[in-house]
Amino acid sequence: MAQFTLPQNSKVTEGQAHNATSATTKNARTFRVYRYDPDTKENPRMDSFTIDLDKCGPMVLDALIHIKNDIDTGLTFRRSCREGICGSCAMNIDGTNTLACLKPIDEVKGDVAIRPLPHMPVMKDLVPDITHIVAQYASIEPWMKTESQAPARERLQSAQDADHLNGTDGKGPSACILCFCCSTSCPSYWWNGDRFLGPAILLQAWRWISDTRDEATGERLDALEDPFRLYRCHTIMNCTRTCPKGLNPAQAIAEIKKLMVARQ
Amino acid sequence: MSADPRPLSPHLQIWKWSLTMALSIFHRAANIAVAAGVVVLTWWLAAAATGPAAYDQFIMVLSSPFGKLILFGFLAAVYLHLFTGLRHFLMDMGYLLTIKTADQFGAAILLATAFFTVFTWFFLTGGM
Amino acid sequence: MMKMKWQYDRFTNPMARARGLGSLQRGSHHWFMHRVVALVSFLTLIWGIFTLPTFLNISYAGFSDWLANPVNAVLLMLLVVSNFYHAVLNLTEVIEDYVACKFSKLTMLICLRVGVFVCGALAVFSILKIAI
Repeated sequence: MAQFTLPQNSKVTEGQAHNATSATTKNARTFRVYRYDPDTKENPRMDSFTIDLDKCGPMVLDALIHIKNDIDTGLTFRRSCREGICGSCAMNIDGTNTLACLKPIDEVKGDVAIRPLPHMPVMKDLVPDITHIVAQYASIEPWMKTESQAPARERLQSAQDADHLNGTDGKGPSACILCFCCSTSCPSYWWNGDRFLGPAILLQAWRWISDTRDEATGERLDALEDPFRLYRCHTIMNCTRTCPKGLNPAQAIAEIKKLMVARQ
Repeated sequence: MSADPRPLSPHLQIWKWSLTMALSIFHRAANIAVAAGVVVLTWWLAAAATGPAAYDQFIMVLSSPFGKLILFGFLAAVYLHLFTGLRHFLMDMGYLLTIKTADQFGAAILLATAFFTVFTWFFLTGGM
Repeated sequence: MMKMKWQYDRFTNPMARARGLGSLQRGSHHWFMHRVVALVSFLTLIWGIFTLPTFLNISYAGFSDWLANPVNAVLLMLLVVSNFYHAVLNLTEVIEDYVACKFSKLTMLICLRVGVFVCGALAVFSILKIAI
């Protein structure tokens, strides 16, 4: 069976509680953070940090940075741009995946639970190992493939064709930042991620399939013609629901499936 | 191979459920129930082919309260699977693929399933 | 053997693992037939729901008379066959989704097909025996 429960070494225990508030704190909030230290043989644990929200910015990432700077310097997480364009701080906040830098603390009721992206191997604390999913991305050959002679200037496409990539609302497949919130939200990817490409990679596959300048559309569809790589998608819609950029991987996958039938 | 030192991050345990996720699993459960129902139908046909005695015995089992419960469950499963199946059809054609429409249609089919199941049950049994 | 994505091995080549044993070059046919068969199986199932339960109050003779009508017999056979076909396609997906062990998966897929053939043959034979 697919393993619906966590393996023995992954069961989460209760960790330490840190209180960084004082009697004068007006705006206290507790963050429960998943911790795993690869240097010990201990299971992962949930540490709680009660902090003064007046001492940090409004987003969950601000709180994490405040915890790391002032309470526990060992706390490990990825972050870079803090404006939702690099995709580094993707994590599971309050039971759903999003970017910590785009998630206001206000939107969460009660304690804020923060965990790494679901069903991934954890390297340390909130940092998952994304080797496999990046390799899957490379496996769809995400670059333009052409055989015909390159023109003297750019390869052109019509404005309407460009809309397929960018979206008329700017939310087309090329707006994807590869944060993998969607793939790690997908139960099909949880159970069959070794073969299923998952929403993020299929959205990217669609980005190249629908590119009118690309000459390898047939080859790309051939590579996806597989019960596991493509057809594990059962339109559960977790991907679209969780995407922090408001993109629609479910729609992209549906378009690929339509094309599979259309070319019969 | 030595045991993997890296823990697996929590998934199903911590995920916040949504209607579309629940409908997907309902669809699957209903489809298993319908398949089981067709096996019961096969049993009925085989009993009929065996002769009047076996047929009467089967009808007796199916008319018992437990049999009625099975029938009602089967009816609900058929309608649920019908509507969630219709939802899949529409999604495959490119509709209902935004969260708002998927949620609205999802709520509608749960209501429709309840209504049609009860309606059909009373239609068939005359109020029992 | 393929590894699950969280199994760590410092010698694993990530691209080799992502490509695995390659694309199976099938899937769209299964997907398409799934939709076609679903349509037939549900039309017949709705017909069956409004027809069959009335026989709970009718004797054996009434049931065999009804089945002696070729239209009823053919529709009932269509119901059984299309629903079993649909069940194979559906349950194949369920097994592929949840059964990770290659050996159990293959065993279950084979048992499913054998089981459905046996049940289908039994149902069709029973209908024919009463109808003819």
